[in-house]
Amino acid sequence: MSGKTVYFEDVDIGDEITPLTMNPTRETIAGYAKACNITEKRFTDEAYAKSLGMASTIAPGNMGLAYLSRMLNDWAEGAILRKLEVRFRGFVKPGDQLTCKGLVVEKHAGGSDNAIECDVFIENENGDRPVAGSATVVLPTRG
Amino acid sequence: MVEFDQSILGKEFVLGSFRVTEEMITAFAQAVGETSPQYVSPETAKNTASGGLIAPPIFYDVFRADQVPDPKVKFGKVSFNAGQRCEFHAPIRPGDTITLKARITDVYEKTGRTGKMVFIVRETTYENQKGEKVAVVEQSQVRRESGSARE
Repeated sequence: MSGKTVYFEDVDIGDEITPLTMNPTRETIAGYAKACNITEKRFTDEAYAKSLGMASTIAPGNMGLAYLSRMLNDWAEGAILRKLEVRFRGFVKPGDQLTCKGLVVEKHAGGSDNAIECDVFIENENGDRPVAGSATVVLPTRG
Repeated sequence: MVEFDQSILGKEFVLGSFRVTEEMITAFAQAVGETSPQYVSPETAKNTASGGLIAPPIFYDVFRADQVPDPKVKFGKVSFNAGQRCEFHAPIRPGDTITLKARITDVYEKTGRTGKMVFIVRETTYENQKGEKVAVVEQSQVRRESGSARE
């Protein structure tokens, strides 16, 4: 569900971003690939992925970024994502039970009046974090 | 040192221009389960702060160029996305024409616990029809000998 407005004044360092659970399947990964005109077979063709030495098909890296972006906007509807920076440390695979998480680590990020800096990551059911990084988000003010 | 085409470093390539439709935006938003009116509902979006339908930030992923600058690295059988740094300056809206410009900013090698890896750093700038930079994405591509692990 979409979230409500979150104001800069109401956010504190250490606050948790409302987590978002995502369960990517072969179908949702194929759906993302289609929406993005991705034709690389490693995302949709199991035999091909295995021929590359991979355990199974994987989700495109940007799909993880799209999940994190969605988590932030679901938490603070209409907040403006200014920067998203991640490292890919593992793969997201069909069948994964993912939780997207985030934590506010800084206010006035980059000297801005109403920007916050968050640590963000995606965790799977094994506690691994295939995608992890940081986000700068501009929030509305009450003033 | 890894062999590649050094002459390509820093050179800017225009990859093409793409017209954005409402359908492209809502299809992308739905593919990641977005429910926010500004991304999925052209009608309701008019009454939100965005003033109309806008694309979710990661929408830049829909623009596929036929050719991207290739430093012709002579190493690795498989390549993966190692990391990404995105800056968003303005939302993309239906009717926009987005032009992609890309350059290779760095090529370097590193040895991890699974062996040698070569990283290719590519910066892509997304500009709208008014010449405004809407997004800048720096992507790190890693080339390796086997696809069994990311690092």
